[in-house]
Amino acid sequence: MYRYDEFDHKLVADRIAQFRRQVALRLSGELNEDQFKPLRLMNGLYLQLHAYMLRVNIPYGTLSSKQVRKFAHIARTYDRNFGHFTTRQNIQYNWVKLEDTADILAELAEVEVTAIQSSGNCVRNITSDQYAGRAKDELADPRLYCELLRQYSVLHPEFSYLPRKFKIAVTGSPNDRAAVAVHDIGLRMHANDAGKVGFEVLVGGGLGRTPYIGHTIRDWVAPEHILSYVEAILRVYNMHGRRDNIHKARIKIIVNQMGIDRYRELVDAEWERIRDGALQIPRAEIDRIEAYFAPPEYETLDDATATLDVLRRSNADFDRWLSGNVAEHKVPGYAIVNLSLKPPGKAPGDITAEQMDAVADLADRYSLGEIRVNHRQNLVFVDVKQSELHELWQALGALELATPNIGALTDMICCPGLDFCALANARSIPVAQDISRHFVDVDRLAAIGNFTINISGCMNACGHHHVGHIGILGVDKRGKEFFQLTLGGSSDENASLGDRLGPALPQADVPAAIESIVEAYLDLRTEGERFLDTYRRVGMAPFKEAVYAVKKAA
Amino acid sequence: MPQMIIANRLDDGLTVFLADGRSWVENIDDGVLIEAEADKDRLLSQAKTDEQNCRVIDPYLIDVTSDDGRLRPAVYREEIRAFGPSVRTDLLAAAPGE
Repeated sequence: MYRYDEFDHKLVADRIAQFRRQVALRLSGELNEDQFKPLRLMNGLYLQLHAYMLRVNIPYGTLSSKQVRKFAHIARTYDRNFGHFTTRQNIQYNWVKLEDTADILAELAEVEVTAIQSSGNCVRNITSDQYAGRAKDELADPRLYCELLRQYSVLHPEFSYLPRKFKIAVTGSPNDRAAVAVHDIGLRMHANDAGKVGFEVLVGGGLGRTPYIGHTIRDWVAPEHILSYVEAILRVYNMHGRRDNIHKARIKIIVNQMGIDRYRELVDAEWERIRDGALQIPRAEIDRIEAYFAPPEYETLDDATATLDVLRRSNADFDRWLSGNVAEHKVPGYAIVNLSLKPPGKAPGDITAEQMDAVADLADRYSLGEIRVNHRQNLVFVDVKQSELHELWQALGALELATPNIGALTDMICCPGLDFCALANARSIPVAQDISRHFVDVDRLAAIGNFTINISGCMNACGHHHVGHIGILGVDKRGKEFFQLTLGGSSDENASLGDRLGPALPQADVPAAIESIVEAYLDLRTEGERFLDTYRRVGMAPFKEAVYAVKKAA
Repeated sequence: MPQMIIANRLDDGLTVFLADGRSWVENIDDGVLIEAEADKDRLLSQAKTDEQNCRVIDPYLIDVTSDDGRLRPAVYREEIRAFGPSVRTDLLAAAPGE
């Protein structure tokens, strides 16, 4: 893992001291709310429906057990004993006091975690593939470049007041687990014709009220030039992005109004000017940062296939969990284990202080002390010996973290919605709870197969509803909550935006509508087809018929 | 419809209601129910002064019902603010009936 050097420590300490003074000025009345709001937002502090909410960054989703224990401590000491993991590899605390905030940030700094730029019109937390550095299918570990981008973008004076927020995601695998196509900048590692690994750069993706899939602005950028290329994109955006209308201020609007070809011309002209300057990353610096992400010293092990097969045959629950929640590791004898934060009836992404402490202990015991967070609001152990999988499964089960639903229908993304969020129009968590209680049969979930449901409580789309195989958007209709369904969205390497199914439904009708869609899919699918594949083959009509014909008949 | 004034308290951010004696309280039942139009303007003006004096943030009037003898915001957004997240009833500070 990356460790702070003296400059990092000083920068963070100075920032906390500055914010402590700003809070004091606010409490004493020398700053009013309009003056204070942009300052608190740049330190991750929102004001939500019930209290202040603090959003803390987890750069590229990588955590140590020590950091997770600190998260538990913060939840227990300053909040109401739980935290919420978000779609951007952040953790949110829902009831922090303004007067405690600087103390919380100081405690987080002890374990090299910050809330700097977790909000505001600046470059946000750099996100990545939760399997980075361990995935069998990746070209290279993208976290080295995530870290370089983090250092480059934190407190960058030119890009601290962008027209609007700016999100960057990076994947080192052709199988995109980081949703890079729906980010302001998405970076995909791939090899050029000469076999050198660099980045395909996507720009102008995003969700919210005007969703777009990102355009490829350049097929391949050499790693040593990635900072200058990102800077060229940011500079053009900073110059041309709209500041007169918040709804038209994101880079996706300007890219799509201007056209990708014109945007590329402007970026290329700027890049030509700066490419070979100070932002060219020296090989020594790449090597220095890369050393932080060197793989741990693995034991020489054989795959434990035979032993696991015996256990699988004798225990159907373990078999289901192994099939659903465990992924291939690039090192023989090891496995990647997903911890589901989506047990039936619970709020997706929520975790108690006790669970966090227990997760930290289990990570130390079974996964070399490292924990990852993914954008689907789950946790991951990336270095588990296959021979210890059965033991770990039992321990996770006792913590309600072993629901075998990763990638299945109940592995839902869900924003906090109107239960917490000041922007929301409708409650999203109760919808997720209803669905998870309806689809509680784990054998049926396995039979349904890969299926994503993403739920947002408003058009700002924090729950990524546009890119769920089924998207659910909460809307307010004359003071009542309704839910608009979309079908066919995806945030993977073949990203697409969902199409609207039909009239919005009341909350009580949503599980039955999902059931009708699932039944139609099971009838229509061919061998090996996911729901998304079937939808792309047959289109909307049979699903629309399934949902609304049932409603008419009722 | 009778109204109340809702806001967030500056120092801890909690949802509060304007009460008698110019105080701000967490429990809706302890807040002042405003029925006369003239009182609405006068009390909202007082609340805005409290905002300037760094006691609360963003005070505004909300419609309130009292059909079952219990004060309840008429709009569900404000009901969630008053009673806490509907999905975490264990966290409710002032749940109906308590």
